[in-house]
Amino acid sequence: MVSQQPSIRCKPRTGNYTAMPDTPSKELADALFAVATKRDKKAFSYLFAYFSPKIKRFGIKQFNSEAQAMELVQETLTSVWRKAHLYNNDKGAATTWIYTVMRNASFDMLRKMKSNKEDNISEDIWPLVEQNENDAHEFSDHLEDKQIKGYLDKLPQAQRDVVRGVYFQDMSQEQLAEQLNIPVGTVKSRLRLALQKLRNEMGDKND
Amino acid sequence: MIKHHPTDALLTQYCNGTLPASLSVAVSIHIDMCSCCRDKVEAIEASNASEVFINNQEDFSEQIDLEDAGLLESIMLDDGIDEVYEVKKQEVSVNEQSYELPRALSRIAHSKFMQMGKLSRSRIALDDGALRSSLLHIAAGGEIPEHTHTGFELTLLLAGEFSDESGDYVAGDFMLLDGQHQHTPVTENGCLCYTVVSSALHFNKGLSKLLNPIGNLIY
Amino acid sequence: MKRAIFPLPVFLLPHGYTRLRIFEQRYLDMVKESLKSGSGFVLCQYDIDCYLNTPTRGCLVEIVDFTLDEGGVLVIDVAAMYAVEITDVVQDKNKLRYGQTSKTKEPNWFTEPHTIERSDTCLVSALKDLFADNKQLRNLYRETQFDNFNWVIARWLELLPISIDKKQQLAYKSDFANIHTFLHTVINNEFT
Repeated sequence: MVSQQPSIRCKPRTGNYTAMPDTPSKELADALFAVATKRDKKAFSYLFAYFSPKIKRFGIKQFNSEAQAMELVQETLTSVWRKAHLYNNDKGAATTWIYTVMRNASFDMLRKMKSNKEDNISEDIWPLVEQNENDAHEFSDHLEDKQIKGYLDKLPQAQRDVVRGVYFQDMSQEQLAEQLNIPVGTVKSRLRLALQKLRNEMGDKND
Repeated sequence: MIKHHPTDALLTQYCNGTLPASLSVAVSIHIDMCSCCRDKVEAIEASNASEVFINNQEDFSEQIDLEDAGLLESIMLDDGIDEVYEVKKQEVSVNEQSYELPRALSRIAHSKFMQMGKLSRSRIALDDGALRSSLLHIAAGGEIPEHTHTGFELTLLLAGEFSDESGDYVAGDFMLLDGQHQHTPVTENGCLCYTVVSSALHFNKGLSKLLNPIGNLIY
Repeated sequence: MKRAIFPLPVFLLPHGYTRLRIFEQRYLDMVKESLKSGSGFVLCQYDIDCYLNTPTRGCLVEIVDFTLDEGGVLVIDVAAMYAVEITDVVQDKNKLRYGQTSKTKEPNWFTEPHTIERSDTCLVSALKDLFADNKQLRNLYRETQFDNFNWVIARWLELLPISIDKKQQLAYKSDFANIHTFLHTVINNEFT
């Protein structure tokens, strides 16, 4: 078991983990981006060739079994293929994101082996998208509307003239989903991808 | 301000995915509330990634064998993507107070609250071997009788405040105590905690000793 | 020209319409003045980092209609004319802000004509459907220009569920190609 003393201080580490000079960080990030935006099979083959032996090696250490290591390769790279659009290129290296995908897959596999649980709770523990940040900042405008309206309703008439109100005109994600006849999850995915492309095209200068 | 944090050793286990699920959930909730631990976790994950994917000097020349090539094709066969999943905000009501559950708990089931005086407990449906995790609510003015543990006890304060012999605690405080610690948390205005215990509690004092079975109920 | 300024978290591009409820005395004064002079007022973002919370960019709007709602609150419909640069911001005794405003050519993409390609027709038809299904929007817009691509794009930017900061970045700091890709990704298909 781990150390059981509560830690009183919380000082972030300052060390930066920079990639070795011969690491193709840019190529890996570009390939991941091409998979997300274009379903680029060549780019994915490149990622596959780079990561699969390393994931396999990690899996052998983790599970002490070649078969389970291969299962980890499959689980991890399937997730990379299907979830590439969730990778936020502002937030860190492609290798770090793929590590978290692999760690999550490995956690779920270990849990399944140990307690026969197939609940796959890794994404509850380590969400691959930052729910809080995005939902609170990027998409919160329409919430403001509701909040203001709710607030105004509670005010007596005499006090209302000190508060300004406005009909915000933009749509909620739900409205857009209904309008385009697609699920809300798809709207969220498309918005993420669109914002990611924008960041990629414009670089960091305007973010 | 949050004063009690997981140790670096615990954060490392968390990042490696080797910490038990119920404790991982606790760390996940804590780092959603604590930016310095979130920074630490990001640094550890980046360092782990470098270790596994970059600095690794092992020979990977074996490359992809035929089986792997089939795997590559089979992955790309399905062109679907996984949508951003929705985490709906979950509220719990206990003793006429209502709380929003942390994100990490909002998709995991929990039982109805069982009440014993000022204490209410709901078991979290996280099958995790010998570890049991719960939501514990202490109503205003309530306290938990002095107790020790044979194993360890994690208390993560989700909302409200409480204090014990060593001080005051606020939402986000992460306390991992082992069998040598004794404590008697008291709350003035009520609080909601996430708790994980490794085995039954033992109450130490007079009447409380008679109440020992409560330990099983509370935690 | 000196004009009254109304900082509000609302995003509006030229030829866009919005409906505002006016509660505060200072903004009631602003509306009165604006109707009298016919020179409009300026909507801008509320920016906590700027002097009097007024940024340097705003949009000149004209009041096109006004009414009282059932609670007796003044409701005005405004149409956006063009983007303006705001300087020399001051505040009067009722805390109404004023600034010197001059017309700018921003957003750049908006002032150049863009043709609607075949592949763009989905953006137009989806917007048409949106107007057809939304009575509020139809009532608000006295004039539509579905054959003007810039107009269509501007309306999408106003309507999309993204933050105002992102809208500002898209409208004023990106080029036509960025915006075009953005809209196609969201409205049309995720992998194009």
